[in-house]
Amino acid sequence: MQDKKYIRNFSIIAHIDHGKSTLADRLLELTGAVEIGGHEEQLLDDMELERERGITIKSHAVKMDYESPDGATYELNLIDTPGHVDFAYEVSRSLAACEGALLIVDASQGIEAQTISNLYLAIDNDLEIIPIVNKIDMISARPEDVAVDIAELIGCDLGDVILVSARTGEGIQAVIDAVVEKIPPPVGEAKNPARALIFDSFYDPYRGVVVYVRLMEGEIKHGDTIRFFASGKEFEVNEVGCLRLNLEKTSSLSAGEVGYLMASIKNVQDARVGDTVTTLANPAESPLPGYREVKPMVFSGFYPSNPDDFEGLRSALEKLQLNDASLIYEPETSAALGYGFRCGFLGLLHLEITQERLFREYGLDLVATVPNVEYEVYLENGEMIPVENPAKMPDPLEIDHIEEPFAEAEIITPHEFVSPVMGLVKERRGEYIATEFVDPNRVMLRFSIPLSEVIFDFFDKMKTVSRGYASFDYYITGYKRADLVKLDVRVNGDLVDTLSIIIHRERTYDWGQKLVSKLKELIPRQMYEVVIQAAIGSRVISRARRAPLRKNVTAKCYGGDISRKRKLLERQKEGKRRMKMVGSVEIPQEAFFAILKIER
Amino acid sequence: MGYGCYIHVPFCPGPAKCPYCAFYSVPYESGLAENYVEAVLGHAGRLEPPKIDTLYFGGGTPTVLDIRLLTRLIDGLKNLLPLNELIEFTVECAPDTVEPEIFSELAARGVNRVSIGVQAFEEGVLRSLGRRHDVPKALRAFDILRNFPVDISIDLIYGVPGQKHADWQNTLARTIALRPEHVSLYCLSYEPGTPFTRKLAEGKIFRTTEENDEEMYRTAVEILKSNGYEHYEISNFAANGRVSLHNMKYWTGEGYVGLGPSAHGYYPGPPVWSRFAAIDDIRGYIQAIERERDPIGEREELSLALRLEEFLMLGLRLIEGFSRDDLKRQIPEIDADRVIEMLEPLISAGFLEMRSGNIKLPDERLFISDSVILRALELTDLDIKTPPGF
Ligand SMILES: Nc1nc2c(ncn2[C@@H]2O[C@H](COP(=O)(O)OP(=O)(O)O)[C@@H](O)[C@H]2O)c(=O)[nH]1
Ligand code: SF4
Repeated sequence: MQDKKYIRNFSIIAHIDHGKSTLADRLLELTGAVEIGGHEEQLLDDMELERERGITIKSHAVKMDYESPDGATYELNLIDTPGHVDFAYEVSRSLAACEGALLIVDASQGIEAQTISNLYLAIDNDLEIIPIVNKIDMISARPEDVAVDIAELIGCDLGDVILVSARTGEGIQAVIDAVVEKIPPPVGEAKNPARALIFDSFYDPYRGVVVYVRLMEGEIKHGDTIRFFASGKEFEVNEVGCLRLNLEKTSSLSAGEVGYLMASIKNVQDARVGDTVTTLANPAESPLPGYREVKPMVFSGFYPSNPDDFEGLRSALEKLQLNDASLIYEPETSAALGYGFRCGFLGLLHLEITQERLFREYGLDLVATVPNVEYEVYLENGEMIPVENPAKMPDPLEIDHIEEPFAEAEIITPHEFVSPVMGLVKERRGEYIATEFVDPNRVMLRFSIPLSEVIFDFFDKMKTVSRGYASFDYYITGYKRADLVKLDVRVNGDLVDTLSIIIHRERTYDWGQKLVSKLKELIPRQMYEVVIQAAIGSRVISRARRAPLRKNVTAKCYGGDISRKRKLLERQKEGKRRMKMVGSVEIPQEAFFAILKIER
Repeated sequence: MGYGCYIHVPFCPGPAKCPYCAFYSVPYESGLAENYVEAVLGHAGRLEPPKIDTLYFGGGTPTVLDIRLLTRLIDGLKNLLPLNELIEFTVECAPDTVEPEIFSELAARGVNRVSIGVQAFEEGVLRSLGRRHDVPKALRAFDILRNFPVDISIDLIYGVPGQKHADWQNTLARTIALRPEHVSLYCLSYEPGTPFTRKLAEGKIFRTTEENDEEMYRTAVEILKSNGYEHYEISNFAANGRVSLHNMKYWTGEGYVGLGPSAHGYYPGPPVWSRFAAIDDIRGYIQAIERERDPIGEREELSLALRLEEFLMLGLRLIEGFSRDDLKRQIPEIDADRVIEMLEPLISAGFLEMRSGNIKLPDERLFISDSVILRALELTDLDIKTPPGF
């Protein structure tokens, strides 16, 4: 067992692309955890999808041994954090497992929105913060200016800001020195009742769930019976160890240490991030603070393109859920799309990743309905019902009012883009709260905005209006009342249930128009005229008609070639099978996809 | 009734094929043509067909064959096939291949119907179509043919990029003035691999609209009908009952043999119903015959479900449609009443109609016949327990 005073547990926090992964690679090399250049870049992003998207989806951790010039060997546990707002809760739990954090800021970009939101999370967790300016090798780097801004932001001495280039390796030694000197060693005693914080868990098909923990107090070893506070479930530990690039078995984990445990757990739902593990041998009375059940924020109906894949989709979702405690789903039926599942996600990125994994790993082609947040609908009789599917909206006559989730958002932007950014915010029903100065050229705008307005393409829009200069982050604050209505789409009078959305009254006209004209484009001419309507209840707000088909005829069966004509017809027939029938109208699947892409 | 016999003559005058055409043909070469004729005769010699009463030379352009070869082919077939009760003998031709000498030989050998690929009586349209003939040549061909005791059928094309409505009306008027016994209409279609389709993709020509094509079709139907032509099949019109008996066999499920590369044949049962397609490459076809191998490239045995599909697909192309008895006669194994019942939704929606015991497409639905037929196939699909909603 390692003497606690030689342990340092820390995270790296940064705005996306400021160099978190690159710096982590350098630390791993410098401590000899990996050979220089002998590995693929960015060791901690090990999911293929993560690499492609350049963001960390799950947390990871790695233990490094560092021989200090003073002769002591330090155990440095680097706990990586997810880099996307969808996973803000996971970030906060990873930080809670640490005593310190490296705050990295790009020397040419300066402080950005995520820099600030991450910093707040670190401060909330009482972490020692080591400020770092990265990419000083770049020609456009302004390391001194950025260092001044950071010192001001966190209230430290300018001399404490370390200037580095994660690319060239310059300054990395100073980073390690700071980790050793400034970050306090963990407190906590091995003899105390055991309390381990779960900061990640994943399912391994051969070994069951692997739980990543930070022992805050006490000790856990092979053979212990452990209990999870949230679920109350008990398991017998069959392996513990520390986190090298692979799992490395040890005899025990004790207060202050970071490692993993396995206990024949079948489902990640039983080992939720943020929960506390204790042992029956030395049980703690209460869990560590800060656990909350992660609630999905974004919902969408997933329907297999091919109805025969319904059972396949069910089992794929089951498998994904083994490894993703925040994914929820339940079967639903749609008149238009048949059998599918209403799935809940942490955010849009989580949704997209899930859809992509279903496609890549399980070969499932899906139609996903327009995502929506969860609404709280208050009825005349005082009852509140949560609605996460527009089709389930109660009758308007029964509704007293509707509330929707709001977020507080921070945008950092150069002065010259304040006005277009504010314009966008207003368009999205955002309410201005305050402005703060970040550095001489930039301000931070703070406002309250409906979550439904930020999760869809707000980020892209903001990048466009600020020519890429503004950065953005948000966190959910709670529910607020809003003037919301359900907008339905009907084709020849029949409701296309999966196209219903809940939307602010003022936006209905605009959305209705776009939706209807897009559908008109996408629905092929049919034997009948097709009338497409967007309506609130029985009030039609937008309407378009698709003229009936005028021509579909084979000119001639030449020389008795009947087979060819039959095959042409059969091909048409095959094409029709892939259409979804709503009443007598055939709607191609692309139409459902295209709706997702309509600009709000 | 007897069988039909279709002979595919896969030669065109060249140098290039017409830019919209996807039928199988190669430029004319006398040596190859000679081998071709021998191969067709060889193929015919292997058949043991029942009585044949219609003969149809299609192409390609049959009349590009040297007259010596053409007569050798016809005489040879007469020796090999039971043709003594021949009722109709059609030869397709292009206007620039019509010469009195050729047709006197053909008429002497029993040709009593000529289908001539006029396409249009408008120079501009002919040029767009890349045809070799012009209007005077077409008129001359017609005059020559009129001296022989043959029915004349004129082929016309509409829906050509740049073709104006007035052009089409003019073409129709000039056609009627000639009083051919038969008229066939085609809407230009873009077949894969043709120069037209490539130009379309390159944006060099533009597809006419559905509305335009339908309008042209309606105009043609109106003009032809008001001038005494009977509209008997979606694209075919006949004066004085001179329908194409050979083509009727295709639509009524009668048998026919196919000779020549890519020619199709149909042998209705019982006990088996099969379609055949000869090897669709002239050299391959000739070789197969010379080496006494099978000249058939594709062979398909029709299941009950396919027979019903074809019955509906073909029967509904006829203007008078089909009757319950036609269905019972052609497919005795299935319950005709049940099938007709299954079509009820289309009838009540006005996409099919019941007229004097026949089920048919209403005139105003002819131009969307494929959609209606498709729906009819879905409603009567024998492989699916519950047909989709309507
Ligand atoms: N020039 C330069 N580029 C760097 C440096 N550190 C990281 N980068 C580059 O910046 C980009 C983002 O780095 P990455 O580590 O993936 O950022 P992350 O999103 O914070 O993990 C990559 O293209 C890196 O190669 C540096 O010190 N100098
Ligand atoms: S349209 Fe007729 S003449 Fe022209 S290439 Fe085709 S078969 Fe030959």
